[in-house]
Amino acid sequence: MNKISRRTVLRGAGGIALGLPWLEAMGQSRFLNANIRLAFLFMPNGVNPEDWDPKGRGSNYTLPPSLTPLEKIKSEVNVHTNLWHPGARGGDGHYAKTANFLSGMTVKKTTSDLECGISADQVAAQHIGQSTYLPSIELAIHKTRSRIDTNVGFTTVYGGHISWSSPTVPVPKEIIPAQAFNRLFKGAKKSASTPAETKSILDYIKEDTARMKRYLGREDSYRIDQYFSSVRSLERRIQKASQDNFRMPRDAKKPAAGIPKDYNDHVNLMLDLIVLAFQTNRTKVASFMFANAVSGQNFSFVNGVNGGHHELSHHRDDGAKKKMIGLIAKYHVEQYAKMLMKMQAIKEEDKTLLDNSLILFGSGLKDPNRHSHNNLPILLAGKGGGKVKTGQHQVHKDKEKMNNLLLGMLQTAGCPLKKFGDSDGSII
Amino acid sequence: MLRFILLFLCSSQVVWSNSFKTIISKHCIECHGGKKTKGDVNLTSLNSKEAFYIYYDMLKSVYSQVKEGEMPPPEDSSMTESERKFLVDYLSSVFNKLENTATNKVGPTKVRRLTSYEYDNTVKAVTGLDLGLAKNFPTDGGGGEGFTNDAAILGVSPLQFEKYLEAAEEISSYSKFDLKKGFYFSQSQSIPETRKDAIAAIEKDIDLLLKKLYPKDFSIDRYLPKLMKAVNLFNKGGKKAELFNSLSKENNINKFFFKRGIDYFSSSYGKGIIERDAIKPWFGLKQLKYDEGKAAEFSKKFLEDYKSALVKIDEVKDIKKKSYQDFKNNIKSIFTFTEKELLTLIDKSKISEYQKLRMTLDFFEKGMKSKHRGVFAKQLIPHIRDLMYKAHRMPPDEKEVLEMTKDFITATADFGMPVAARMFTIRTFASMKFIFRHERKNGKPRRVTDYELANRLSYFIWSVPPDEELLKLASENKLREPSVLEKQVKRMLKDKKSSALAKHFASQWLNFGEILEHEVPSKEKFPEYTKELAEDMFKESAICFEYIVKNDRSVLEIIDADYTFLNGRLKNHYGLGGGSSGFSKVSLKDKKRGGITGHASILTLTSYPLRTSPVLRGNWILNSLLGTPSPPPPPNVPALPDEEKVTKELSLKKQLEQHRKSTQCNGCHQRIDPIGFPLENYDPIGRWRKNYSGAPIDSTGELRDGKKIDGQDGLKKYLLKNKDLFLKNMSRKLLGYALGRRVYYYDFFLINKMVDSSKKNDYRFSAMVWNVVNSYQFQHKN
Repeated sequence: MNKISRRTVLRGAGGIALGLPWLEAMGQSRFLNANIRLAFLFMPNGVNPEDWDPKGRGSNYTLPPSLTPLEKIKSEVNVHTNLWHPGARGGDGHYAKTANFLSGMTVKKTTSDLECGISADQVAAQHIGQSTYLPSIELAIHKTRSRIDTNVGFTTVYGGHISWSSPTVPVPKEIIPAQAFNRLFKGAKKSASTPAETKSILDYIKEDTARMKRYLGREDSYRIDQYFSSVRSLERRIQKASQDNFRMPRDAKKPAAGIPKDYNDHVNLMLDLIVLAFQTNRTKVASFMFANAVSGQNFSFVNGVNGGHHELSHHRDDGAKKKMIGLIAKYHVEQYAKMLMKMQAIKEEDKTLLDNSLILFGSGLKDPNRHSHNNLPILLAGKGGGKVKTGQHQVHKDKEKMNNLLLGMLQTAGCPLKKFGDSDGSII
Repeated sequence: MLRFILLFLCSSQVVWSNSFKTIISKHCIECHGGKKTKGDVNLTSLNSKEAFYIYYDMLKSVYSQVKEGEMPPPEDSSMTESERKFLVDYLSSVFNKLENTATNKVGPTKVRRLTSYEYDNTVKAVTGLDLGLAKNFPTDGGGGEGFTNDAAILGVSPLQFEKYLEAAEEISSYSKFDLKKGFYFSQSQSIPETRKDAIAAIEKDIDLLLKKLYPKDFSIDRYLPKLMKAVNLFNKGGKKAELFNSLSKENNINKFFFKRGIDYFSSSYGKGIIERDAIKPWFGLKQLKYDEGKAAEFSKKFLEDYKSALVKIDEVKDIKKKSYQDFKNNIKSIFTFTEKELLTLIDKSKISEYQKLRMTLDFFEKGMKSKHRGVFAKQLIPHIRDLMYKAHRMPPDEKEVLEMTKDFITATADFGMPVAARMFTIRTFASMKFIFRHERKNGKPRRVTDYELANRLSYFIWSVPPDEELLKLASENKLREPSVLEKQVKRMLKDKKSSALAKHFASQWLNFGEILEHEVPSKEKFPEYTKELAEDMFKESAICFEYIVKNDRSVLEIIDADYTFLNGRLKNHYGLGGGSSGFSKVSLKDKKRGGITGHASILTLTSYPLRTSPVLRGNWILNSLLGTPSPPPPPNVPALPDEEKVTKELSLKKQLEQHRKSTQCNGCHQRIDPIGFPLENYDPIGRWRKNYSGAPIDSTGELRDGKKIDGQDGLKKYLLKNKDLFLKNMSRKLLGYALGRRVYYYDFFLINKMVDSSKKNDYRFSAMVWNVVNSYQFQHKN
């Protein structure tokens, strides 16, 4: 019923209906070198270390309880042990360990003038994202909470964003599946304006924005720049839309309008959208938040769990609660595993979509009861186009920097970087 | 080693306290300044006179924790009471000087993006349409003093801009434009004005004779055979002038049409028509000159060909298409008046008006004649200015109006007027001057203009653009006069639009807005908690605040009132009977309800899924009502019991008491728990209860000094006794909300003034608001 015909989509995309499979259009050499997709999946509130840390190392290790959903796809995943962000020290237990999950920078304690660090996904968007229709997508399940936490002196904006396009600008996330779909496949949405008209309108808006430079003071110039670059980014996409051609898979469905009532449905819709976006090559970079920092998401729908996530996470060493935190982590890993298996089933020449990707999963906390951010729970799946050996439990030296892994991911994807944040090496 | 210089500059006076330095070094630096800076508190930062300003917030927190005995940690501190007293007194005198020195500091006045709700309100004010477009926008974060309208937080991203553009497109689908009325908006999806509409306007506006010129039942079907018959008779009759007149009269054929008909059918008909199928029956005939029967037959066939040609125009291509088109146009042109002809027919007095309107027809076409541009611009400017005025919420810059007009004309030449109008609408709603609340830069602090003041005022109290009255006063430069301003503030607070203060200020300050999305209570244990009930809870809190605002009542009624507003469902929830779904004022006989600590909204928000939490409730009172937050709990605290483990033998209270014995927790919990316990008579969804797990509720809390707070009644008394803290916190929040920024130390002079003035004016809400509006900060721009 909801199936959207390929013709509709293609007609919409700038009126050009090329039925070519994207493989042919991309050309093989580019495909092999630079068509790596990167996704960064964030889970709040940590894990139960006893249920998370695997025994054994290298390819010879057994999956601990929280990781059992990886069974079928173990050969495609690496478990990383001993990574941390030194910059996440201090601050508070959650906000200062969420906003910097992908940058490792210290989060400034404030309720107003935000400062964190540019995140790995946004760095990727700037480098490899420029070749696709959307440089990146940022998806999530929950709205950012609109308040300040007076006990700790942070704005909850920090807890709602892992993607930062500059040290002061968090990237808003889309939580409505249908809206995310429309954004990815713009053709699905009708506009009364022709491309020529839209171009003129955007030119006008740019003029108006430039005029604001003379009108507003220096204090506000960063806002004007933000506005300007936002207009530019849309312009760029419109140009892209007329060049791009992509094939919508037959079974792709446009999600129903609104926010799904069921958490689990919502998560799966969003993860499917990331897979679809990668499959159609509409973007190469995605970030996703299973929930905001300090989320009280009720996980009673998971067998054996009874209660809200954050409340349970402060288990005070109560064995039953710790088990529940382990089960909640397992639930997350299970959704991750499902996503990976879908990607594995999608062929790209002699490889799979998963082979050509690097999909990170993790949390900014290890033991949530202690707000500990040492030895973070981190999984990385996909072969990065063949450069990454998977199926390993990679035990790094104690306090290896997580930014080294993020740098490794960026480099594997073709970003010409030598350093990322506080990195002092590169691992993958 | 330890560089620790303490200077304090006040006016010209430097206060230097050696004792302060000594005490701090002895008791604090070990954890807060040396190698460790626990809780981000670094007391060695206090090394210059500016430091006191810069670290004002940190010092405030140090002050309150030292004062409350939370710091240094009671379990391993040797600080004597006299040392503590010295620290408290000294810091208090420092704050006194900082806060009670009037400073003319404006603070940051960054450009503010409209929040989602302001966006929707503003679209409504400009268009008159309630479209609710912001529901798809990314959520605004909270910042500053805890409000979404904090300028520093309100950024713009590519995603956001896309949504603005989409929203502007949607707005434009409701917009209409014509040169008489300008831009207007209508709920129905409107079709942009067409050329046909313009012709219709011409007909209507100058009462054009067209209606008289064409017979009532004019149609080519009927008219064409009539005309062909007349032409035939005219030709046969020798083409005499008298015959022309009489035939025209007899057959009721317009002379102009007749003349062109004769030309067409008598000479070169069919010229240029290549497609023979359409004209076969009459092709090759040089003149219409037949007997009546033959003529009728020909005209019938001709009409059929004409009709089939009309159909075929869409089907055929290239040269064929053109021939059909010509055929159609030739016939149509017979029945169309030329400009000249019309001018001879129109009443002389209407000619110039007609010409002007005629020209507008030109505007609908691409490639407008350049000679018309000037006339067009003259007609456009007022409309463009008008939309800009509404959308910018102040008179637009005239230079900008001219630039917009120029762009509009260029767009008209490129795309025609309806498209140009649509493009201008989209541009207007997707440009920064609509999306942001803007004030012109100046370089140094200046007083805001009356228009800027009108905007600040209106968005503060109503969350909407200024209304006509405010704009009129602004245009007369009268708004800034204190007597006028005060009258306006009173008027605005009485107006129903001031409910925005309940919906956006109070709901965020007191957090009760969060109940609308609160899904924490266990569905199994509390099936009574539904979305509808949550909405009712929100309404009770919002309406109570609205009532205080509109009737200018004492703000202390937020803490304690002998009334509340309930509907049937909530009355039932409270055990006060039932009734209809509408809300009405309910007089209360006891202290169980009335006042925010008896609202189900707050009581529910501060509970866990299965049980209440005196800690969360106490913490909420300290944060939201008294403005004296505690630091967060340290990680890794020992266990607290689950619902199931709370038994008669060891009540939750007892367990918390045990927990407090752990000295690490003691400092804060001695402060938090005693004000949370008095609310134990309310269950996790705010219902009154006497027992819990079979044991009677103990709703007393014991403060550090041994004084007891007994139940809700005692709590209200305690809060009223501490009303200064409450008033100060409320003033701080209101100021932060009004200015869209966090407050700084230099704002406390004003905050203290707000508190004083509130006390002198029976705590009326308007006194607080007036002090904000009348302040230096509110009326100045950096």
